[in-house]
Amino acid sequence: MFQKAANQGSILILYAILCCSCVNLKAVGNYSHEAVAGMEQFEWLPYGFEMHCEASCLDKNIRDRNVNPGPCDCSADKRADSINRVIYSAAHDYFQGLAMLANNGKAQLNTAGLTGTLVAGDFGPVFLNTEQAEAYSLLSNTLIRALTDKFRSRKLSVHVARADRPIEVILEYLDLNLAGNLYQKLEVRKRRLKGFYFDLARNPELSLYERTKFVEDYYRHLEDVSVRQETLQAYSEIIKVIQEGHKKLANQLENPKDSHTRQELSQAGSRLHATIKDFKAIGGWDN
Amino acid sequence: MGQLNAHQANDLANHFLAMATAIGDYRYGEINNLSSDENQQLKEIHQVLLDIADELYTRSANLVMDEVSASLRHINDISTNIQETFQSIVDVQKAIDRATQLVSLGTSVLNRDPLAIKDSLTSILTTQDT
Repeated sequence: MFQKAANQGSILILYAILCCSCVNLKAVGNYSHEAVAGMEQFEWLPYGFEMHCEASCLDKNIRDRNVNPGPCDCSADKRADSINRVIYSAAHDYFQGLAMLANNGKAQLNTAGLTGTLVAGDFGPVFLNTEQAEAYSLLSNTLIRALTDKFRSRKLSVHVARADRPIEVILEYLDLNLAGNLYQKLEVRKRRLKGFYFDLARNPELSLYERTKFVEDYYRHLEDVSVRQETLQAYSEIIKVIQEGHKKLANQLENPKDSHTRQELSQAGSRLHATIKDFKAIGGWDN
Repeated sequence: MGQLNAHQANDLANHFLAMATAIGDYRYGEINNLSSDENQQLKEIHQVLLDIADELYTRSANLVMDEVSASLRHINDISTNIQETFQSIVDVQKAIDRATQLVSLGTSVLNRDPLAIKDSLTSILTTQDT
């Protein structure tokens, strides 16, 4: 009777230890999972440097009424797209690694074999019945989980602290390329379109119908460019929220018992979730 | 150009875009006061400035690589370390599996069950290299 009560007491204490370390890892896992989902929206960006280059060549050929154009050199733009993909992949893989390490389910250790052995065994003077074997198995499971959770928290803390500056740098440059350079290239395209359609819309040699059609074309192109810009802007917002969240993640891992930092990390995860939703709403995607 | 960094190239491109915009706006606003030649000249300057801005944005994007390469290397190293950390947890699982096999062997020995001893030894030997 006494032994049974002692067993139950031990289980409760270990369960409490387990819960404390679990909450921390759960918040880290949730945030990392959202960061992976956020980064992956990159795959849904409807525009790239090379695409812009090809569109510009086409615009130029139309403007010059050239039906036999020379080759369109987009090698530098192709390289820009490759650079963005390399940066994206590095950040994505990093967050995926964090999510995997923080994810209790995947890294949970399996002691089912040990339970089977305990049930079947006769250990000299101590014979374990089924109930006792299950109790010891639960204890060992709980203990191992608590120990590995602590191990993972410690390791995560080291990795996240080391990655804090580099991840900030690469995300900043991905943002510069997408929201700074590519977005602005679309601004250039807007100006080119206006320059082209301006003269057509007021050309007295064209009929009113033709001029109206050109204006209609202009606004259609403009709308198309604006949606692409909006998408890049929305992705930029995701990048910024991921960056802010990573700082909160580092704070939380540094101060695992601080409920304020834990709450901040949880809020960063929620904010990221909402930002991804906004991004999807622009394109009407449900990926 | 080699002296510029990605941010500087982006700033420069923004300036060219602003200048192109100013010239374009001037042309649209003054169209009724411009001769056909003047309009054509301004239109061409506008296009050239837009082309320069466009190319500078691409150059800025290419220059990014020079500036992120060290950080990229760090992130890739850290990702590898994370994988190794995860692997070490999987190795704890291996340790538990091995220990379980040894417990089975010990139990078989205690039970003086020759068939079970043989099975346990076979199991240990076949998984030793994994």
